[in-house]
Amino acid sequence: MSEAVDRVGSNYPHESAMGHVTGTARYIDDLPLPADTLHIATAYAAETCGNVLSVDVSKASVMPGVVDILTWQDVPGDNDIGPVFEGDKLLAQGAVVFHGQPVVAVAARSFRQAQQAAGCVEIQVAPSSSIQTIAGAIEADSTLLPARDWGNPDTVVGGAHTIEGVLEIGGQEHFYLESQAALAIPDDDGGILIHSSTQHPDDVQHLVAKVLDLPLHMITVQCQRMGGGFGGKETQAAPLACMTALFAKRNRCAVKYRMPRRDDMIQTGKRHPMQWCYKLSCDKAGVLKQGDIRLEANCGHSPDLSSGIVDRALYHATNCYAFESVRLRAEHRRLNQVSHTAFRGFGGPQGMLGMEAAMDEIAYALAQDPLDVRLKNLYRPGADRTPYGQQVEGFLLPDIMHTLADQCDYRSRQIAVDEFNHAHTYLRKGLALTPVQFGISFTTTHLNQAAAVVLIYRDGTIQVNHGGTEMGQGLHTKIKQVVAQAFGLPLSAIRHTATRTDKVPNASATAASSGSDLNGMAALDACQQLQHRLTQFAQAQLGAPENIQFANGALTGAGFSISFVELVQAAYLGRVSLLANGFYATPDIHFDKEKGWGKPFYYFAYGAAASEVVIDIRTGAYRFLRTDILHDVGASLNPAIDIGQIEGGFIQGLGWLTSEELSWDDAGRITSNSPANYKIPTSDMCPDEFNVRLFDRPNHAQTIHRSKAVGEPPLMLAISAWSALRQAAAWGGNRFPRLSVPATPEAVYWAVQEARR
Amino acid sequence: MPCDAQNQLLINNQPVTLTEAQMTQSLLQVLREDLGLVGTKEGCASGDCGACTVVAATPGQGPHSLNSCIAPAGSFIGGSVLTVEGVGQPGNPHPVQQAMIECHGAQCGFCTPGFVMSMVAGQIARNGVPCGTLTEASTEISGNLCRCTGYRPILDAALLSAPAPSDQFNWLNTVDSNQTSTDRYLNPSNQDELVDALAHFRSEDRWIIVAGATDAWLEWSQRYQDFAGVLDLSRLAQLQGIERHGQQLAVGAGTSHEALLGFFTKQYPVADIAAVLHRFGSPQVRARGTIGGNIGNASPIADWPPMLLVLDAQLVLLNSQGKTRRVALSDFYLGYRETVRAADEVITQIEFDLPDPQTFRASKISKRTEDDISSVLLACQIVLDKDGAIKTLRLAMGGVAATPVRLQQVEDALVGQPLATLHPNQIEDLCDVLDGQIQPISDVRASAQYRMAMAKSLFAAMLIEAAYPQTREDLHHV
Repeated sequence: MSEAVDRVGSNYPHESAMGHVTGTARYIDDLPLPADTLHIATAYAAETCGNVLSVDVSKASVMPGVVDILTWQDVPGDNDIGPVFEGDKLLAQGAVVFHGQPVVAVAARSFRQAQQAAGCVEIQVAPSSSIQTIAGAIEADSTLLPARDWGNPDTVVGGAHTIEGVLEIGGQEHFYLESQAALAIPDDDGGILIHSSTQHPDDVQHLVAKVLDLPLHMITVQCQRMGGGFGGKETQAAPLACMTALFAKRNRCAVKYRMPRRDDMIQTGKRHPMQWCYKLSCDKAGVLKQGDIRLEANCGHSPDLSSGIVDRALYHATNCYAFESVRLRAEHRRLNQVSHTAFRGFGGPQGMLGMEAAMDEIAYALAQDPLDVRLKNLYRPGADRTPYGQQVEGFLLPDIMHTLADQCDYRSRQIAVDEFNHAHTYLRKGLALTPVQFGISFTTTHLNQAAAVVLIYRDGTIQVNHGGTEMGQGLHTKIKQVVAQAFGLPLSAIRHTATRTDKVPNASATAASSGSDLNGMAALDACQQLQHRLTQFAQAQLGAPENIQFANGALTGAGFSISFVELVQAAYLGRVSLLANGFYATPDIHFDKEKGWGKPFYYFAYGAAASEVVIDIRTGAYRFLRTDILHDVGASLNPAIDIGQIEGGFIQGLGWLTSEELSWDDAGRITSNSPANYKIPTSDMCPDEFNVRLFDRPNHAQTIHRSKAVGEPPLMLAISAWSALRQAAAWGGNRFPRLSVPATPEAVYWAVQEARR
Repeated sequence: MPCDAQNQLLINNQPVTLTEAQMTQSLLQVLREDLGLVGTKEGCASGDCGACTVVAATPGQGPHSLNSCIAPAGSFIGGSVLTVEGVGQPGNPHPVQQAMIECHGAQCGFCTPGFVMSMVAGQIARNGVPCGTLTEASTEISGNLCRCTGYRPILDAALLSAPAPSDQFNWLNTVDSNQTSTDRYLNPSNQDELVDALAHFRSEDRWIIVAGATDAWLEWSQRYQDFAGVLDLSRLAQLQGIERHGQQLAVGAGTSHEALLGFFTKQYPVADIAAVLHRFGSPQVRARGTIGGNIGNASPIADWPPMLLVLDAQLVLLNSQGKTRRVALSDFYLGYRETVRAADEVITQIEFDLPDPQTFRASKISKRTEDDISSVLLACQIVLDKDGAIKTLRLAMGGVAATPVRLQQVEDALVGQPLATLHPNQIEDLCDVLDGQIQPISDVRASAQYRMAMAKSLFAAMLIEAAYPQTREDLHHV
């Protein structure tokens, strides 16, 4: 690779790309196993809810290959593995609270034997009534956590125009291509090494220790890579790891648990379905006055991460728009469903979607172009404080939206859309441009810390390791670029090793889009310590001048140059430490969650998308014709990887908003339990014309090389396509129709019917 | 390279002998767990995600991609299987793999080997030439799910890949077959062997009949049913092929959907049949799934039966005594997943009228355009007389009752209607005749109300377009 390729800001391919394309990159299910490895399957009750009357494993225990069977009573430590609050049982304890909840775990000699034996476990439950809808939870006053009441409680909604309603927002299955997996291998001193497909090795370590009643130092968790995460492996990976560790400890052998896709879709949490209930007002020109927004979140049966997720839905419930006064409330509804969990955007998408839906309704009511309504309501001087107290700095949306509108010919295409619709009997086009403003930082302030280790070897090669995990987002590639640039070395001189809790302890989850922000700065800190030591050594011992720099594989200054290898070897002989621990804590953030006031975010990431769709009003079927995106990643660490995140996030958001429909039957059993009946996008859903550009401007905040986080924000760019579908359904009708989420062809059809009434 | 020993196949050009037990496992399991070829991934074990895609050539079929998770390994005896490990290695990647790296086509990488194999299959089919158009590229990867990239860079890779070396895959076509049935894996290659096999076949003892196995094998992969034995129809040459006799077609029950898609696209173009088949499953499923299987498993939402009901299809069935009988498709279905087929019978042939490309219509509703199961499928043939009145009408639907249904009462009620003199709104009103004639239900794919609305809406669209051909508007041609 040439030097130009190895710098921050270049399009270096994913560090595992060759392994990916040749099938040699290993995931947990690919690891060679010790000969005596056991495999796990779980059994659950036919009922959704009720006290467990009996568990009969007599048939299962005599099935071929069965070695061990567990219920909650066999857990030596704590059976509760809730990540923040209690409520998530490793194995059902006394009662089942959702359909599919594991009651019994079976370990057998093979995957199939374990599954076949689990199918023979007989579980008797005294069925009790269950809550399956948000409306049912409201009626039963079923909540998990205290309600939030932020913003101005004295807000009275009034003005020239008011709009109100309820938007039903569906959840989403993560459908990472690699299902959940863990492999535990006992150490010879009573400790356990666990390979876990997890975004949060520290949490897995913590929960395994809790379940086994062992101190943390006896548990080591490793994650080489995940086959996708998207938030679904932030907390949901832990139960598998705990079960493997439990069986490994009891049977003194290696234990693997790889969830079949069907079990994964039944037993692991999803994006929170929510209701966005609103009453908003604006003046005659369409400028927002007051808002009263209430979110009803379907959290499932336990808190899991719902507190933070619902908070983030509130942070983003006004997106990028200024109100005179707004009240933000949220309820954490308990339903008898799997516990809904983190999913790319972490509540933000649900909050933002409601606001964007409302902007379209205002535009329709005032017969204005929706883009104009959006533009006139953006934060502006004097109206640039969020409802939760944060002063918005470095606000890029006016610039981004105007630039995008020009680049994609928004105005003239709106006219063309109108002409097309006049000229057709059954086909309708829609075009919408929507913005995204996404707050970057963990909103739980103490999580905004990271550590990294940089190790220089005597041949001048370097290993880097940090607490972040690789799930395809290219984090490790970006970190390698940061380290390579720091020492002026080619990328080939840097090796990134698997994330392990025995290299970096106490690491936060790789979540909240924070991976490169936090770990990049920690790695840079380690590099700077080593640079400092090496520079001082060179100046003291090798006669290096005052101004010297690491570049082109050497340390050079006026009249001085020493290759990196020679420098390192000399430093080793000079007894200079070639190992450094870097650390980073995001500065300048604080938040009072009770009052809902402070500065939760270090900065915001911005973007906007314009999408054009066509629908057939006879069926509701549709196609995505064109999408243009202009997105802000600050000064990109790797434009190709960032564009990949933007495109992938957009399509994933498009799936959430259109084809991906979770469904449960009346008894509370999930019926979208297979890719045969839950449809994530295929390549055909990629817009016919898909233009993605980076809004190339360095972050005003001091981030790693002035880049910005990119993991989550682009998902919400897909709101433009949902909005365009609704515009198309509304065209020529008598009213602006509701459009539920997901907007399946069926939903679009009903929206057309509503518009025509 | 020929393979001589019994129960052998070539995997990445190396001979491998399968045990009888292995023959009744999925090909994926044998690859991953017995042979250590873990580059092929399991994403869903139901043939929906494509992570397990490999390329194979069998004695009955040329090179094609398939989902190895839902294919019994025994089906490939005497054939060749190519996995990602055989395509290229680090240091010596295939042009498709190189293109995937250069286009940033992999993020998490788990789906990537499957995409690579779909693209390699496409190159083999085009004698080493990469995709020429975006549509071709999109079709080629339509059976592979990626959750990370949004597909654009993968489509780029399919378009920008250099051609494969021309001789790279020749061996896929040069396999000798000498497989004979074993006690637990019956693999007949002619009618006598088939009749013998049917006599052996005991459905009550956990035996299964498979052709492409694309649906049947879910019993093994999703419900963990181990089979006592398998009767595999895929080697029967006389079950394959499409013959035209005047205005009649005779199609072997083992003919793949892909072969029929080719026939109705190239040899005898019928736009709506091609459009439905293009959305039938994925390339991997179309390559192995058969028309006989689609009819025989009696799903109310199968795509072929409504089209074949309109074409007055007749089925030929063969039993364990070697006797054949003919059954009209309209008499074949008894109820939900229930047919007149006896346990020792197989469908061998389907005969039907050659559809008139001008008047034959079919339309499919599904949540996702590609690789999704129909919520409603409507097929009809509308012939107008010189005055524009309905002269003959044949109408059938899937997804609106416990079985696919031919709607003769509706046909009778509408014959003679002066379509050309009616306003489109009046034609829409005519479709209320469907009330009471169909009984759609609500399920995970659609509500009963929507299915009813779609039955009427699709039928109305076809009637209106028959009366006013110039008014045709198609979402896919904007």
